[in-house]
Amino acid sequence: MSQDLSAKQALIIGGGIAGVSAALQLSSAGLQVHLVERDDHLGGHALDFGCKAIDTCQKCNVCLALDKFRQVLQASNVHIHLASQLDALTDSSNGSGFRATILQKPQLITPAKCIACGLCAAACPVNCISPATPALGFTYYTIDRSRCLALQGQDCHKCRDLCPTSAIDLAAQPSTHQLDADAVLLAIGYEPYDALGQGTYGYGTIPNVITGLDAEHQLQASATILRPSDSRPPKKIAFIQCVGSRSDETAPLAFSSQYCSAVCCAYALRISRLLAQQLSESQITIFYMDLQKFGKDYQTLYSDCRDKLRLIRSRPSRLEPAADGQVLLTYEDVTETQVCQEPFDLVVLSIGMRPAADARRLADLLDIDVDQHGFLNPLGSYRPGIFVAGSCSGPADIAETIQRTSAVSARLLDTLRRAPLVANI
Amino acid sequence: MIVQKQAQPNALHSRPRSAVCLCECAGTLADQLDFPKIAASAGRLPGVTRVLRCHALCQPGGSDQLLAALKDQRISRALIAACTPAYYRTALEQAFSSNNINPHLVSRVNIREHCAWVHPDRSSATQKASRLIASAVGRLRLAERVGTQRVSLNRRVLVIGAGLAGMQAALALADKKHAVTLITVSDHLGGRALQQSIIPQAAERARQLAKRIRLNRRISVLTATRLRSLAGRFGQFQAHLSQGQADCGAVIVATGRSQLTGPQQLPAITGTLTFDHLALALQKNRLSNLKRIGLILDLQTQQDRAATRAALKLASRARLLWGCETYLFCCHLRLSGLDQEQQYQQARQDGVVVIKSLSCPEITQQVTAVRLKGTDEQTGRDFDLVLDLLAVADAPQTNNGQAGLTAKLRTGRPVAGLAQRDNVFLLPVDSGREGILFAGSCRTPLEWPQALDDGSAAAEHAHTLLKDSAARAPAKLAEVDPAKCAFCLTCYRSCPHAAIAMDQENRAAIVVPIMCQACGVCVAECPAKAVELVDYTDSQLSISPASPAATVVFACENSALLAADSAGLARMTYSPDVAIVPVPCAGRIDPVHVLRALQAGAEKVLILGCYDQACKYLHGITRARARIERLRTQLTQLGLDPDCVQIGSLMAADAGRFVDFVSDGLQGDKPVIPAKVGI
Repeated sequence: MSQDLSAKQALIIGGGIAGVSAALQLSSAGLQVHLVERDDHLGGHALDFGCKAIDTCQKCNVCLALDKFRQVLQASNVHIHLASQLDALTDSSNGSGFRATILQKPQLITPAKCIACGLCAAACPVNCISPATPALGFTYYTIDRSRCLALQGQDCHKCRDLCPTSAIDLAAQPSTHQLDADAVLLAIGYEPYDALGQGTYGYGTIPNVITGLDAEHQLQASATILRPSDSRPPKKIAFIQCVGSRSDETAPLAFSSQYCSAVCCAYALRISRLLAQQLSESQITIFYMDLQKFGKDYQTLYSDCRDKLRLIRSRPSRLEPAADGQVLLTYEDVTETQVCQEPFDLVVLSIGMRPAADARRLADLLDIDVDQHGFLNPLGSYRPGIFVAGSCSGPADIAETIQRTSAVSARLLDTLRRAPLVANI
Repeated sequence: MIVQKQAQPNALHSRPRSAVCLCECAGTLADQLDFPKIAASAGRLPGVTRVLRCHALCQPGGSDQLLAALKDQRISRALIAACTPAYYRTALEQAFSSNNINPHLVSRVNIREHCAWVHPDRSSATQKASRLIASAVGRLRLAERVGTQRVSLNRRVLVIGAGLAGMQAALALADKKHAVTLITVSDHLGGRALQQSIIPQAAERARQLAKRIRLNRRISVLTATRLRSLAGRFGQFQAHLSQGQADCGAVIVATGRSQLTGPQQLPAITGTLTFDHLALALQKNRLSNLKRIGLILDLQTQQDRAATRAALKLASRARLLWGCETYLFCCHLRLSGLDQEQQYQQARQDGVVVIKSLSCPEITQQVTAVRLKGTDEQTGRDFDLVLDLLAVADAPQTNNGQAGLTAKLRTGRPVAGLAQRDNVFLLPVDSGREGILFAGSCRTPLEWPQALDDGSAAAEHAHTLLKDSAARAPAKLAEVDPAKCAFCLTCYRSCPHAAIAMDQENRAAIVVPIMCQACGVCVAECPAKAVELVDYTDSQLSISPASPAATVVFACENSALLAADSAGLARMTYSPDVAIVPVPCAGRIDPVHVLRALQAGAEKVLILGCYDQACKYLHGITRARARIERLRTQLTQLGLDPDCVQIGSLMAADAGRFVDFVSDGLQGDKPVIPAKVGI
């Protein structure tokens, strides 16, 4: 006999694209959904991505992701727990489902009360208050806990005194609460490859070497990409593909990165096309290994890139700072069989995806296998009723994340429709 | 025939009494807006009988005053002048539904993000707010009460195609207690998976699914059957099949890609082996005495990761089984599956030589061998190889039957042989037409496990649509006036969601409310002006306040309006002489609205919407652009400056682009449209 879903609850860990699309799908099927997000806001990395449309859409799907975030904020049976993490998960005492312990960091500003007037941010002496999700056309302010003077024990409460809706409570304490869930979905996403920590290609020390993520941030903030050193449009731009992917040079990391991150070619080519159009005098070079296929209009995009961009199949060996803020790039040109050096105004490192920082802890907590790269088993846990979705189970772009999540949500719902789950024996 | 039209005599329409509710945002806007002045001017507007000043609508208890006013019999409609509705909408909508307040009679304007926060000058921000309120009250006076109706749904689902995705979808639906009709053009179940020797697991899975389907009493299977035509609406489709008819509530299309149709065409080569031939030869160990063999992956056509996986696997196997020199020629290895990099490393360890080149090698056919000559891009070395055997990957075939099928289903023209249109908002399985879903590799290239997943996902979507045997739908969204309808089929062809049916008896088009998405494309396209869209009628969109703004922006609610909200949040500034008129889609705007705005005194009219293929209403923006371009040509012919009318695309988060659009060229020469000309 199929079960009434409206009496059931799902717990989703992670409020990025996967978590949010699952929340929407599960709530439209009638479930009560608890969405637990580590940060102070939903959206994950996608919130920082920019639109890459030229005159036409390039199908980066960022607008679709933002649309889903807006939808979930309005969904009535999705309960959002911000600044929270899953601390423990036990089998429920009645033998069906789970009981989760959620740790919530102090909510210094209550999102539901904040009207985004910005008085607090203007008054903050250390500028530690900022809007959380301006890209959604709807925001509230959040306090950077590490910089807030009040949290360092100083007597500062300017923001609290000014807040017209009493949304600020600087003495808020962390809280723990329990949630019942009939199913758990882990959608904790990925971490971008840490080029800074690894010092890859001198990132962080050589000016004008940026990562693909930095490029996305710039694009989101200003719809174009400028050289960080002098804020001028770069003329010669290089993209280096497969940074932190398809290599075992990252051996000091806990897990191997002998895999293709699946998204970097797509974003690099889309951003390159955008820049080629915006900065018509620029010359863009892509250093690549293999270009990965993506999207239905790949054929058009690829032939356009071959016309407009310089594609070099090579993995540059090093980058060095040069005069005028330029970056000197050394690579082997196999067609000339010689080592070449070429200066660029801007070098973009197309960094890949790494397993989420919390993946190991949650995998242990929920009995989920972790593969040699650190990604979670897409089939979920040994414990029935625990599922895994999105890029925490392997690199995926927005489209593939949504596609995979849709299938996992279907599986979760099918499980709940069947007889009540029996506790693990 | 399809939905009974409900007569809606609207008694309120004759003397609508409106309340205007001003939210003062907890007192934070006092420096930017002169609320007493706004309240006074709102109170003078025709039909406004009450002005409420509310402290903070979004805070607990903040909307009590408004709710009390709405429950008062003397108030028939309300305008909320506050911030971005996201701050207060959810709470208010719940209050409305529990108090039985018709949402169509409540309208909203944004005086915070669109006025107070973007115009530093208090008096001009105040003036703009008053103007926005005046236009919105004018539109609200013409608003209509729209009820809902019960629509019956047939829970049977028609699944077209019995490959992995189709079979999986059929079984998943049967599990959810739906009756399923599964049709396939083939004479057996299983599809392409059965014919491929490269992936025996897929073939095995196909056989298992086929067996389960034959045993399932909820699934009726019709082999050697095609869809002839599909009539009716979502929930009550009638599918005419080459054998008989199937009545169903929804359709899942899982026709896959075409049958194997042979290898990529390469210059100077005839009769090459396909990968499948090679797989069979390896399986049966048929060939021997091979010294040197080659596999070509993607020298002429793009290949996906399934083909890459097959190529690496076959190359490794051949190398190990026959001990021959094995070369794999490719442009790009598609390794974006997790284990695929390992597979590639393994192939290389097994001794497979991978040669990469963007340019096709020179290929010559010899009597019993093939010669390939070129340069490997990885090493820069030239190669000149005589191969005993050359296997070539199949060209990714486009399914030519797809176009015929999507025409019958009215789901738009296939792109690159894929049935699903290439639009961001159709991900993952939507067709754009309510009740019709795509699954499997007919919509995008997928590897076989993903095709199975896709089948389950589509089944879940179909189940969400047909959960119960009835649903509630708006009584009307867009409505055709049969007296004006010329039966020209323009609306039928232009509706992005194929939500229009033609009533042969009464010779008039009918909009099916349960399929209509209320985008207004048909309304703008109709040459006879026979269609009206609720809340966005021609008269509502043509209302201009007494002192019109220099620039009128028709802003798509999915992109431009949200971008304007973001601009406000970011406290960007632009000229206050801009009036924003929200529309559901740029596709709603027809030249009449533009001309009326110009006639009323606007200097410039901007239509701002989404990008093509990121338009929530599929081709709404494309249609709008075509209409506006025609209008611009006409203006030029009349000797007027066409630049006074512009259409642009932007994304919802693109606040900067919105500000650029509304700030550019405001000083353009004002075209003079004589007031006497009837538009």
